[in-house]
Amino acid sequence: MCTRNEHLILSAAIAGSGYHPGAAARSPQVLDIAYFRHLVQTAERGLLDFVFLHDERALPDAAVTGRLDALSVLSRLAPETTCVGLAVSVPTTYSEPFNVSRALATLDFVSGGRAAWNATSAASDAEAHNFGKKYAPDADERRAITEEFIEVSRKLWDSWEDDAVITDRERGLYLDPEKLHHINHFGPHFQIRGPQITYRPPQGHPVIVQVDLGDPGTPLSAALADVLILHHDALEDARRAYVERKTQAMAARRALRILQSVLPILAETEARARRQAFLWDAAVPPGTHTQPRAKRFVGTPTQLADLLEQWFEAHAADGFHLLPAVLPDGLQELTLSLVPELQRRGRFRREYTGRALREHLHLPRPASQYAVSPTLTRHPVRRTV
Amino acid sequence: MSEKKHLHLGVFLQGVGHTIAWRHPDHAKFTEFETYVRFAQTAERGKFDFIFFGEGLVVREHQGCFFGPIVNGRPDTIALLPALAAVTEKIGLAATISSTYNAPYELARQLASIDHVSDGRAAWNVVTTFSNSAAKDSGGDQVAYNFSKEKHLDHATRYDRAREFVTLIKKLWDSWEDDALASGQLDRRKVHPIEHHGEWFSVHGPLDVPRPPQGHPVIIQAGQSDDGRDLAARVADVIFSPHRHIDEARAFYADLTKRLTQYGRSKAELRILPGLPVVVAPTEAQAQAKAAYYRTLLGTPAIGRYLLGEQSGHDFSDVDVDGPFPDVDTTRPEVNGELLERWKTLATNEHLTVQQLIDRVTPRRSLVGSPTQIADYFQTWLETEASDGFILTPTLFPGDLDDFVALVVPELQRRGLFRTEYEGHTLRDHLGLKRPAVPARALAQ
Repeated sequence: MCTRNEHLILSAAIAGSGYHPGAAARSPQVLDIAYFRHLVQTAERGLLDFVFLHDERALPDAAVTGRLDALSVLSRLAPETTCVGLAVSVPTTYSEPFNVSRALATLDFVSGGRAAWNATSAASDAEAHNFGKKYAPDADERRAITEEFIEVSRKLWDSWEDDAVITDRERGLYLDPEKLHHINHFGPHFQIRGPQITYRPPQGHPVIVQVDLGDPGTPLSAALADVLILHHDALEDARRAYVERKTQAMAARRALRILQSVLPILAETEARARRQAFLWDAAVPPGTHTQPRAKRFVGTPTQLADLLEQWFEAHAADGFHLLPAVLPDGLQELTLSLVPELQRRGRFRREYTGRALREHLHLPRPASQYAVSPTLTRHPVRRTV
Repeated sequence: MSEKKHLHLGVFLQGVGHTIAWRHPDHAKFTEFETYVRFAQTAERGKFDFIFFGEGLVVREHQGCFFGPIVNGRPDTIALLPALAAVTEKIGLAATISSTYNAPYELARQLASIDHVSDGRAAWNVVTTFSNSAAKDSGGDQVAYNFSKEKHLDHATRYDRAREFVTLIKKLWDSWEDDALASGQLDRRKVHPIEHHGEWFSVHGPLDVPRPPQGHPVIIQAGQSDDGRDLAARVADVIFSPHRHIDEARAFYADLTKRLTQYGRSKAELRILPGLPVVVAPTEAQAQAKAAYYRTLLGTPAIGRYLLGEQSGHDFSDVDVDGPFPDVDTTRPEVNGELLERWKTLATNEHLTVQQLIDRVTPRRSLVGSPTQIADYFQTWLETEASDGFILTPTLFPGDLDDFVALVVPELQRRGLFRTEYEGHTLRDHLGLKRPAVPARALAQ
């Protein structure tokens, strides 16, 4: 392998009330923007690469509260933060690429280049019922829609070159007509002429984060994503997946970051952590089937840092996606215990060195596919593979 | 009237400022988020009821090319408004969004969420997306091509869809009772599926977002056609109207007041706010000089020919601007024949070249004057039931809005016509509109 960044990547999931089903019974103010502000600012104080807010399009039967549109929440918090990346899931199944790609471009615009998109698909019939359909499309169809949706979105983001707005008062040209492009996309699910109506996003493309939630309708192709969040319990499996995806990415000439999901249950001593885990496990409501798609870890922050470092050094991951057992306290605990431990080991940043999420992740800023001569990248980036 | 009437003021931004304002050296850069922040904060400093963004779903083209001289490009309003909620405290935040190119469930949760994260300041300007047969390069079908459709829906069909869309979206907002979360946990007995099965939409519900703080975000409507007026009388809280002549405005005001009663509503439930570009300066002479300078920005023959074409639907791009008005076919379906006839008569009678005609008909019909003159105008319209206030449509930003806030707002306040401080919290509070209750029908289940 080529030289690799010595810092690992850390992201955190912030939806709902936490990711341990027995701990989540607390009543969080998940409809209150102050609650999310606390979470996102906590993540930023902890220098995390990004926060991740999952979203869906129906009220689950088991809901203890409702939810807010995730993109609205993160846009609302963008001006109140400066560096932390803002990742949002927006489903593709019943949406228009022209609308979704524009909204994501704008999240990137208002956040100064910190937007990331998890292109999900709506797998439930409950969601289908809210969009005039009886059943959700099957997994193959949902995956195909998502793949084409991402492809079209990239074309739409590229349909304005970076320097299309020239404001040339001498020649009387607000924009350079040569730097806007019809995309003329003609695919099985979408036929779109373009161009998009908004400028190219600050990052060129918002970062695309795909998550393995165990749904075969979610494309996890290395050629499609900038960041893949996977779930493996065993180091060997994680290594195998890592090498496979990185090889695919290299073949597609794409930089790719791979994160492994971890659900930590931490305490000052291992015994206390075990006791905590026991209590939460006992509190899982009967009939709960959904296990979080994450490697469970029970122990001290030092032990967790050992594990993460081991997996990182073994080329099983470029970083980790943390699912706090409870929110908001679990996130705070991680930033106060795990982050300093990783910093001491030289494995995590001590300050943000860039502003755009692509800079945190050392991902190159893509040139517009329609640019005649490749546009220079706006952010100097360290190349890593 | 026993109670003294107060003006309501909004300010509209068609995405990026007026078509040609970018040519002014002081015009702000709309490619920067900070410009939008300044827009929102300036309007809030002026105690405006709301700021208001237009929608564009297609880049304007001309003869198959993107047209460079005019402004194009704008952020997405749905994603922009929450960010502007973060940098303001009281001002209303209105988005123009098409009912033709969106899904009701998706839009319902977006608008409800904007209302939540702004503590009750969201508004939706319902449009069906223009049917400007005139703009043949940028018309409805070009929008349809961005949404995997071959054809834009016709006018009547779009309004038919819009009526059902608005009815449905209100049902979704009402699918949660106000106190569904009062206990700190969701009380499922207070959340109801809507089971809507209409001609256009089939939506089971309930919404996954709780009832918005305002009950319903404020509904704005701008249609002038019979269908548009009817829709406004049924569902709108605010009308964005185009009238510049006080008699037309009064007739419109009276017509809407009458239509409201057909739907069991009263005039107290609707605010009529005409759009108006205002150019103000300390003296009338200074204001006139400023307006004259704006007119010179229209400048190049290319822009003039483009604007004639955009208004009339006839292609003027090969016309010699120093020559006489050309012989145009006013009967073709894609042109506005009445307008072309009027121009032809004007040019013939007054022996105008095309350029002279451009200078005459393309500048905006701004209200130009001193602070006293502008305030007099506003007062007359308010007191004679021509309008309930105005929606400013500034030409130059930030200049025009800054000047209005510095010069006109204090004069209106001195006359007792406009608030000196926000009295309520939500946009409905500012507009003096009641918060809608959940209808008994939704509760009966």
